[in-house]
Amino acid sequence: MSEPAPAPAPAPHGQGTVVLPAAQHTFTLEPGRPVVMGIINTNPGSFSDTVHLASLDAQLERAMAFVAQGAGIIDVGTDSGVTYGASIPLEQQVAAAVPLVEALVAEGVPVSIDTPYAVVARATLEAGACMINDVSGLADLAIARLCAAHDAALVILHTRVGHKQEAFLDFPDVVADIEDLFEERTAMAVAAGLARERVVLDPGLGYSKPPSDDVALLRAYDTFIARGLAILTGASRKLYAGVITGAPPTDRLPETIATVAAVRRAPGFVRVHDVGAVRAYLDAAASAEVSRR
Amino acid sequence: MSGPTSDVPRHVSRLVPPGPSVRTHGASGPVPLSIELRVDGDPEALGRLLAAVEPLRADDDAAIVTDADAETVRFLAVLAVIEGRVPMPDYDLADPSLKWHAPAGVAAVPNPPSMVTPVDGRTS
Repeated sequence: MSEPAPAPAPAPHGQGTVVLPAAQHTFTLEPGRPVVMGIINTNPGSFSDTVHLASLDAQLERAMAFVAQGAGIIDVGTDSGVTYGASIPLEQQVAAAVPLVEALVAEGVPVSIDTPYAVVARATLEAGACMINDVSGLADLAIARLCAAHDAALVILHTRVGHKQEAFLDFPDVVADIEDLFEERTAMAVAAGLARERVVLDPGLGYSKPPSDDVALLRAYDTFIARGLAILTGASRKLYAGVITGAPPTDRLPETIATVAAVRRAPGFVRVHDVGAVRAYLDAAASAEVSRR
Repeated sequence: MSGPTSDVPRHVSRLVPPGPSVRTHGASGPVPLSIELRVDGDPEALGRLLAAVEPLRADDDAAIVTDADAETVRFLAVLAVIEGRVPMPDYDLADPSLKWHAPAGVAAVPNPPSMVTPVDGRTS
């Protein structure tokens, strides 16, 4: 009886590829091929969704449609970051998010939770979420400890103002400030017990910055990529792009795709509402690059 | 995104970037076509169109013919600013047309208090 053939060695990852462990999932993130993160909001605070999804069934249906369109992860928002409305009570956020997380996890869908609240993070991690998208920039270190305890990934977003606060700060050098925050908060997360490889960095388009600084940070992506960590870009319907074209927030799909075009060399995630269109763009752009080689 | 079956008004870019000429079907032009593609209001078709347009974004000799001409110009305008081929236009952050607003019937609470709840004994 002949010896079984040795198992083939795993293919080496390409240059710049980042492997992100996130609880039960592992994302292999290649430059030029970002994972599309589809956005689902579970509360009435967000009006970014063109159709509010009031019921769990409607939210699940939309999320699974995103998966069918090519989303690799669903980002569940429990308290919109809009600056014109008050926060949803925490118990209401938990009650709305947990059943959706459980349903998506049962379908094998990776779930991220968009929250700055440790109470929400704890409940949804226990329900099976694999990533916390902390839009406060780790204002509460308990979030990092919770991610560490659940082997989850943690998104550290650059902002210098509180959740739901509109501000256009005057940064002398916005890229340097982003780098400072990434360095500081990553070290804090690691000190809290989280493995560095589980950190995802989000430069925070539209968070506490004037539109001109958003353009500056988009031009500096190679600096952020050089940190060797996954990058998340909230690319959807951003103010900076609306300033350029004059399009209102409800109609910024070309602007969203332009933002994705500008950052897709980063290994990581692009967070969008228009999953199908962005997936179609990314697939066509990747195919065109292969054919040009 | 607009299309033949949409009643959403189309938005024309306030910044028209250098690069390819973009026009609708039926219009005549002096240069050979580089891309001709109908989108018909399909967002995924728009995504594929813009992927095809992207490599031509700085090509002054290229010509793109599509019913998504306004969307194509907006895509090119954003990329042109990011890449520094045109300056960021002046803007007014007080312009209400650029921002999200509380919908009718919902009371606006500008900059509500942040509510980051401490756990494990740590006060944020």
